Amino acid sequence: MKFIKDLIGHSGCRISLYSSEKGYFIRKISKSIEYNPRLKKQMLKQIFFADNLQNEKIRTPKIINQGYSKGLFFFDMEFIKGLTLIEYIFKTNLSELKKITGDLLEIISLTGSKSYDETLDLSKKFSEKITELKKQVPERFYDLLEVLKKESKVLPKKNKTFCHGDLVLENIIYDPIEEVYYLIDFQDVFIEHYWMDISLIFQDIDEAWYMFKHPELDPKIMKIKMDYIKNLIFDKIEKNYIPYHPLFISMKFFRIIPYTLEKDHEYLEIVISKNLSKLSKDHAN
Amino acid sequence: MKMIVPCAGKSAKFPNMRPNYMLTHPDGNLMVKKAIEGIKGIEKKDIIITLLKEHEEKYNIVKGLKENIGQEIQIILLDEPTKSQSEAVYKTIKKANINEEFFVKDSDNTFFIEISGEYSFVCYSDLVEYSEINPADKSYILMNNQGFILQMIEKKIISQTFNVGGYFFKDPKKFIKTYEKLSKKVDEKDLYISYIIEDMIINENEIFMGKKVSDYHDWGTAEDWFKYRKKFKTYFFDIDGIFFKNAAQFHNPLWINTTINIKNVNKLIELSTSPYNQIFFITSRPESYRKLLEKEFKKLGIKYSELIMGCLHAKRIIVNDFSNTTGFPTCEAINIPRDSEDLDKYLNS
Repeated sequence: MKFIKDLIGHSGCRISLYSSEKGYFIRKISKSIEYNPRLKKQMLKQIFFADNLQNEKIRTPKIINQGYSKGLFFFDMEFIKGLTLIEYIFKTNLSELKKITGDLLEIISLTGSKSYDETLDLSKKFSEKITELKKQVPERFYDLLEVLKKESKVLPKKNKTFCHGDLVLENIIYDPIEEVYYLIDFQDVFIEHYWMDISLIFQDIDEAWYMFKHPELDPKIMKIKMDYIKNLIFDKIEKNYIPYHPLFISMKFFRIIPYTLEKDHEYLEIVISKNLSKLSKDHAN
Repeated sequence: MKMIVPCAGKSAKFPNMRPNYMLTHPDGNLMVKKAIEGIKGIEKKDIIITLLKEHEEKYNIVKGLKENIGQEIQIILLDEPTKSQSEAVYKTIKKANINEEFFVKDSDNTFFIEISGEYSFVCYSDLVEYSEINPADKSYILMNNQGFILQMIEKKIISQTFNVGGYFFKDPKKFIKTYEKLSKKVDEKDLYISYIIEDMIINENEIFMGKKVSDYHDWGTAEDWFKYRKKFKTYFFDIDGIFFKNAAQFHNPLWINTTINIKNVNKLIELSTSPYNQIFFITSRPESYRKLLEKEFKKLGIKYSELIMGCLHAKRIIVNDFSNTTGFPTCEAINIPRDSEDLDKYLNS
């Protein structure tokens, strides 16, 4: 086994490329001993998806090894060559975007296709998370958290489903040669339901979250393309989800706040306010 | 680590002149020497230039290459012109018995890059950084944000990153295997190195990264070469009446008291700081004024090659030869009114 190079990652875990007699592979190493159980859960989620849900078109890199190195958990997986969906959307033309939109809907319905008997009280889950977040976010967000708490009381009870947990477009790799999508960086999440995946896709499509990781992409071009995808996708996602979308997307951005810098708080405040105000308008109507 | 520089093609894009790698750069070196000058990390003894026997017979170029680049370089002579660059690389690996990683460098362009050998890579640049290249003539690279190459396509713009003609291969055996496989299926004249690499990526699961180069100049056709050469100029400037207000040796205003022509001096400073210009001064002032002038030029921050003194106070004529390889004309003369401040205007007219 030979180390080749470190790759760019966003989770804080070390991602490295290695080669062995059998070919190249990727090693993901936990960022700390405390993080070991979470990384292991993420790996198990990836294995579950590979064993039970993936198909010819939507796949995940195969896990080939796991273990500990200097006390840190790691797992090795198949090396995939492709573009993140953000990159592919930027490079491709409008006609291809229609296909991508259809494929995104397929990805969402695939992750949600596995449901469990366990019932999730979404309102309660939100309330618990909000209590936790109040200790982690700056004071300027307290009022908005209260609004979210109040509005989230309407959330229904749902059966638990499989969900990716961090289905931003950055975590979908597209291989344009084989025309295969690979889902990477599965996450454990406080609500294991595929509605979380829908909201995360909108984090990029509607709220331009990708600009934080890809400031090099021309925002004008990306806005045109993302609006095109948004218009196509919004009509086709599950109708029951739509009334709750502002709550899910607001919650997603609240969860990001503890990991962001103060300079980004204004953007987050605007996005959360905008989404929560949609709920007030809905009430008025 | 070896560097292969294939020069065994027909040089068809440079009609009616000697093989392009032998053309003379404005600084006096061979094109091929300039093509490899910016490649850092490879020792001279590891440079292998592959050329045709007929070139050696006609031009005695091997001696010249060694003199210009270094006596340690290796030369591989081929009997027949190769149909493609990949064929030249293939034959070089075989003839030179290369068993280690190697870098292939086009002989008809220049760029800067540090070679290091952790993984195979292709050198690239970005279309948006160059206004003078012909986009239809390039091969394009589709890369992801980690720098891995997914596709390389000839003459079709699939991205803004293009291949500049520098390829690093970790394993010569894999190159040989892929070349032998593809040469049975593809007409050898079309067997670009990019096809070999794309096949290795897609069918052999090999990894190639993109490595960005700097200061890229393309000399792929005679037109590109002449355009590049045209950027270089050797200026012969008179001094008095242009950069200093006209004065005389024996009466007022005296040379020792003359003032500078600020506008023209500013233009001269601009010209002297460009890497494309060489500046000579020619003056009828005698040698006894050299120290004074040198001091003045130093004070003004002007870089120049030579100060030629003691010329006749008379008409000056430059005579220069021209040919297929130099373009025409190879010299110009500008007459400027004494003490005019319009040097810039006259140079551009």
